Amino acid sequence: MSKLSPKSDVKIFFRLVASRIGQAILAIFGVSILVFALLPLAEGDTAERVLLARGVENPSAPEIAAVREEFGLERPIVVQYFSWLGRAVRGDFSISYQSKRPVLHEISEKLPATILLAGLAFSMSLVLSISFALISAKFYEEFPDRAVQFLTQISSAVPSFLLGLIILQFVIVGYGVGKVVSNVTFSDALLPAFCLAFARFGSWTQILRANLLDALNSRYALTAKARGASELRILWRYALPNAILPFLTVAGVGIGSLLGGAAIIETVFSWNGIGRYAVQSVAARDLPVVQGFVIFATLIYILANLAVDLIAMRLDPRLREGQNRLR
Amino acid sequence: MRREILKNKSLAAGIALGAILLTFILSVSIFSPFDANKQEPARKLNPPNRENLLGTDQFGRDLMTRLAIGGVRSLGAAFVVVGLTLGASIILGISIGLIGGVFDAVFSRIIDILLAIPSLILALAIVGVLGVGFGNLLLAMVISFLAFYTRLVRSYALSTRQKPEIITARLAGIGWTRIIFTHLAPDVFRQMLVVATLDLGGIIIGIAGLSFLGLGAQPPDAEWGAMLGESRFYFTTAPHLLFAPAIAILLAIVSANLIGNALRDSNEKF
Repeated sequence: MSKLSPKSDVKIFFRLVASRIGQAILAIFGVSILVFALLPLAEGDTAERVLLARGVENPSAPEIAAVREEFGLERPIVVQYFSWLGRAVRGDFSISYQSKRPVLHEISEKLPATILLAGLAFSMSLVLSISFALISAKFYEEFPDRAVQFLTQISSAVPSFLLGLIILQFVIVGYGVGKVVSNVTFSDALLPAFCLAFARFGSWTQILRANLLDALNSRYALTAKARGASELRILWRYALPNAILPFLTVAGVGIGSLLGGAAIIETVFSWNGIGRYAVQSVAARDLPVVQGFVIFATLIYILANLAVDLIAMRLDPRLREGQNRLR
Repeated sequence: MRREILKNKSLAAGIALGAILLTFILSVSIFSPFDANKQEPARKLNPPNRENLLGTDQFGRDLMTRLAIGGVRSLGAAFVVVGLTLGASIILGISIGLIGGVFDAVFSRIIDILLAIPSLILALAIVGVLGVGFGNLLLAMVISFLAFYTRLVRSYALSTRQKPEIITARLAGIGWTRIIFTHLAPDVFRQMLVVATLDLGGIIIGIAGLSFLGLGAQPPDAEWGAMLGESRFYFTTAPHLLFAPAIAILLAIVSANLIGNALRDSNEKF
């Protein structure tokens, strides 16, 4: 494969990993600039907003000037950015307009609930899409395949909040299973997570199915068949590993969609996570919270994608030799 | 051969469904005797009856009229978002791709940063900054889709630049403007239209979802997502408030998906 010595291969690998991590760091910086830029874009004067949030009814000019002095709003914008960044890195994301508590506290209180929900939904989506794709590939063009295809169409067509509403209506109110206002427990998370997962597993299943079919038509699968391997063995041992690799990137992007969808599902099920909190803050124009939410959600997204890319690099030797080789 | 007919069937079904939906929305909006926003407390929460064909909502407003007007708002908004995004991304993408240089480097970085943020979260941030409201919602949706589309157009422009026909045309002395308008733009537009149609369902869901959360259309304006949000409190007493917009949204999305899938499959053959 490679004409270089093993030691150089390792070096190349590490350089690739380092560059990937570097990309992630650059992305995080870029997002921080964007989020910081949000504040001046908002209507109204920042100092006035802070005073209003503090409960001062009609901020007078000297009061506004004093607040501007306090927050250093007269300084050049670049200086303001770095001072904001410095505080952010130390965990100081300012104070929520609504609750007057530090944004970091509010977010870290509610984050585990969202992680639970999103993690559960991700796993469900993964399990469902892998299972259905396998079924589809095994029974290609027969009834099970058609049934799965139909199911994926439904999955793409039903918005998650609609499913959530209907489930709330019938299952909970009708049959008394589950609760209308959820506590953050594993069993309470199952229904909301399922709603989240249902909207997403359709496209995942289609992609995985296509990959599996490609793999089944490949030379190595043919070779295995010629050597007497059973259909199941070919599917499980040869086709699936090869099909999953390009699918990993899709899964990484899916995490972002999950994080966004969590905001809606959390609202429907009154789930006490950062998604619902963010929606409330957007409605209340609580800008520090919105900023904090965007930073944290994006951070999670970037890190998750980084992890997925690194895993993919670990599993697929072709990716290790640099971008050029694979394309 | 059988597969081709099947694809055509789903395309026909999608178009038929969409046409029926649009006809319903437009005709009811124009011809309905009821006012979508006027409250009539005497009639509130009536189930479907002879006068109000779909019943009334919690303020006594006719549900069918609200459904139709809401449809104009939801679907109209979706088309506006798609149109704006397509237009802006094509103009931006072609400019970035063809001008190149520092311009390209700077804008590509900005696009990458925008792409690092999940789209719904970006939309939430933009609505948070600009304030709640339907117009801001549409702007947020356009911005969140713009990055991805611009990147696609840009790469398309870059690859077209290398094509033999284009190089030959340039050597023959044909100016860039003519090349763009006769070769590049139509091709890009056709490709992006397929992408946009596939995304149409997602855009409808996005608009309805954010309005459902209360961040888009504000009361008393009718809009499918907002109507679903309001129906939450009347589950048991007036389920028709939930079902009407729900079925409408589902039909719209299914139609969009069918058409999008058919377009994509037919495009792949070329």
